[in-house]
Amino acid sequence: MIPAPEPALAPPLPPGQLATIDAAVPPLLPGEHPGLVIAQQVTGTEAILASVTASAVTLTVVDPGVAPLPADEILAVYPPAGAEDAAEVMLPHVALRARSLPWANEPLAGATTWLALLLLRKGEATFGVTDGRPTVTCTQGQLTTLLPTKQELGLLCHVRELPSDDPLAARDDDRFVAIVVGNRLPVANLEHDACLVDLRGLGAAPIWPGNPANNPTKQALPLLHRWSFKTGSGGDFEAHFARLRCPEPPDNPTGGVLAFGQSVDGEDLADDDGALLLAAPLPGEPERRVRYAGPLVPLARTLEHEPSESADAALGLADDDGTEVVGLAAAVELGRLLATANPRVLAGLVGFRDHQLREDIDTLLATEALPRPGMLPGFVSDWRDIFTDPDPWFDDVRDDLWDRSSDPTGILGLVGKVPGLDTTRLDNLGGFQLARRLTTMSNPLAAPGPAVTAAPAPSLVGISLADADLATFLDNQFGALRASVAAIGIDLDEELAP
Amino acid sequence: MTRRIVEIPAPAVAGVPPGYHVAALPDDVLDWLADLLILRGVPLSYLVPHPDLLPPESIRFFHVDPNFTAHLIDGALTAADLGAFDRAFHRPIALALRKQAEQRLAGRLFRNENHKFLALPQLSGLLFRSEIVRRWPGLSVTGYDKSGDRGSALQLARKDRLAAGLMIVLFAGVPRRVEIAEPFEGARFGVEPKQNNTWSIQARYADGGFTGNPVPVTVDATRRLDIAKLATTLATTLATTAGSGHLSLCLQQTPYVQVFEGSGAREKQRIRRIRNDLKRRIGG
Repeated sequence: MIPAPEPALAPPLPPGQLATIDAAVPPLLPGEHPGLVIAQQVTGTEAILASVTASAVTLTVVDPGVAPLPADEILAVYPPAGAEDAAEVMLPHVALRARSLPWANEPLAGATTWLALLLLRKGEATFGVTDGRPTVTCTQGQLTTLLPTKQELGLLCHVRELPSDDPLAARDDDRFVAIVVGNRLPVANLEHDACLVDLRGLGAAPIWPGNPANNPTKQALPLLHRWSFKTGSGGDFEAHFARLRCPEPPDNPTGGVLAFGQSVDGEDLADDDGALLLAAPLPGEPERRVRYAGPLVPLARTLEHEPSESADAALGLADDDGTEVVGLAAAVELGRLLATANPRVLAGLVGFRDHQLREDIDTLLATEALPRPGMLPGFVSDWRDIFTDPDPWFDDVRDDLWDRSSDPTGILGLVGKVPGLDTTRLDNLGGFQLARRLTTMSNPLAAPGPAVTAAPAPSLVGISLADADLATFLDNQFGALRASVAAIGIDLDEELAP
Repeated sequence: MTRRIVEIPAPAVAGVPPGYHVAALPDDVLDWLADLLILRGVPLSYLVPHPDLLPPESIRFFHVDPNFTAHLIDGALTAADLGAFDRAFHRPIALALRKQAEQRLAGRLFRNENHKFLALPQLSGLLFRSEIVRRWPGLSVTGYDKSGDRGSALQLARKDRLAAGLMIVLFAGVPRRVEIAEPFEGARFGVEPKQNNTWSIQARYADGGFTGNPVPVTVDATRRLDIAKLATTLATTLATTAGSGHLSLCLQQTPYVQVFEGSGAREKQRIRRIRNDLKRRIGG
């Protein structure tokens, strides 16, 4: 047996490495150790400066095998307590903080340790409390078939030095932990109890190999630690992958590892573009099918993005058979629904739209807006101020804006194209000098169309609602309006008929 | 009210008029759009429109169609559109915002790179539907840009469990080699099942190196291992006494790594098909 190196002297293991040691036997076992002599001298360069008279003391080492073990003595267990899908090909084990614990008591005669990790299936044992300490009880026959032999007890305990990157090392005080491994594999899909038991009371019990396996005598064992878990099935990670990798229907009907759109039987479910025909019945068209390609495709595709402002705009027809191609339309509609379903995103997009709209209008006007008198170069007046700011500069800027070669509203471009929209009417409606605007426009967005003969336009400019003959005035104006409408070919009597 | 109009040079985006300035989206909205590029929030039925495309216990490798994700963003932008005016302005805005979203995602993936010069690479990935995902949710997936020897690992654009037994993984790039590794759970000790209900372990030398020869392990009806016999067999095989430390090394199970390497066979097949089709058309 090799004592573990002193932690202070051993350099820490680099990441990714570990070291195992067969045993870490403490120099003293539990009990009283009399005759220990303690003396101390402090020496200087030439003489003894101070000394403590030697005295004999009795050192008492406490039995560390108290059932149950303190919680901080258990660093980790495997499988984890409460696991639902533990692998049935793994042995349970427990990691103990005190590296010498398995050897810290007088071992069983013929063995090198005093404890063992028993794995019991649900129902194989009962758990209780004896003299205030937890115990596990099963028949001596069961112990004959389940316990390791005395030789094996030592082979199932070792010390492990952990590298600095091991998560367990961070929880330990010296990076050396004792590991006790079970000797029995769990069964698939079954609940189990892993029990770290104290074997010191079993020296002469008829439980070791060679004894009858059907001995019904009950035997209680002090329980140092216990945890429960349930196993899954199908083996470990590797075994699962082995089945998944090599599908062999019908014995191993797994889906295999393939490109998207392929199937195990070699048939392509989707074409190279990832498209497949999906049933999309409509009333009167029960056999309707559409071609859908989602975002996952078997082969790389290049981006050919022509923005679609609606799902309908992204609909397509297949070249070969005219089938509707709905993948991109589905994407547009899905994007819209996802944004609509998220109030935060929707609010952000609405805010962006409002801001962008202003940016666009500013961009149209900024290049031509006049610097406001008295402001530093680089600052321009917000064009919207012309409607609210009573400063004297208002009229100048307003007129100037309308004199310029842009048409922010686009309405000037419609003159002559919309029946009845002529310059006089615009003047009356807008109150601005549109006639002059049209004649001086240097770069009209659209040339005026041929003049349309129309009745005089109605005007409400200058009329007070308190005017006594307002009704008469409105009747007159309405008559003029009717005439205007009639001039562009709309029969109001017919349109307004109930 | 005065406002300073500052000329901000916009990144050149194909299809966006020169000098056209698209305002910045709020950060959280831009992040949300970037998430659309990695299909976050896209229902499973849009990803896998037919159950046969992803049967139980299967892995499917794929590329992400950038046209689909671009249209997802188009659709998201239409949520705030009010009419014809917005539609008239939609095209340059959509193009510029898609670019912004791509740059945001690229910035998230390549944090140490200069964001001004970042471009989002082709996204690819895998769908993993298996009991493995349910039982080992912490499994790691790594894509390498070269096959054979390890190339450089690609950034993971996404690794999410869509359901208990279903995982989606997206790579920033197209890997030639993919490794799926069992999560590290600390030390584990076990045996490997073989044919006919037999068991074995991989023997190791005392220094931890594998001998390359499996050693049989006797497991009785109660599933108890014959540890003493195993120690004797190891001692005979290795011509040394196997103590508990050495035995534990032999019983120790390291995390398993499943490797997939692409042959590009399907891509070559498609190119051949296109070439033949062109020849036929030209000849016709």
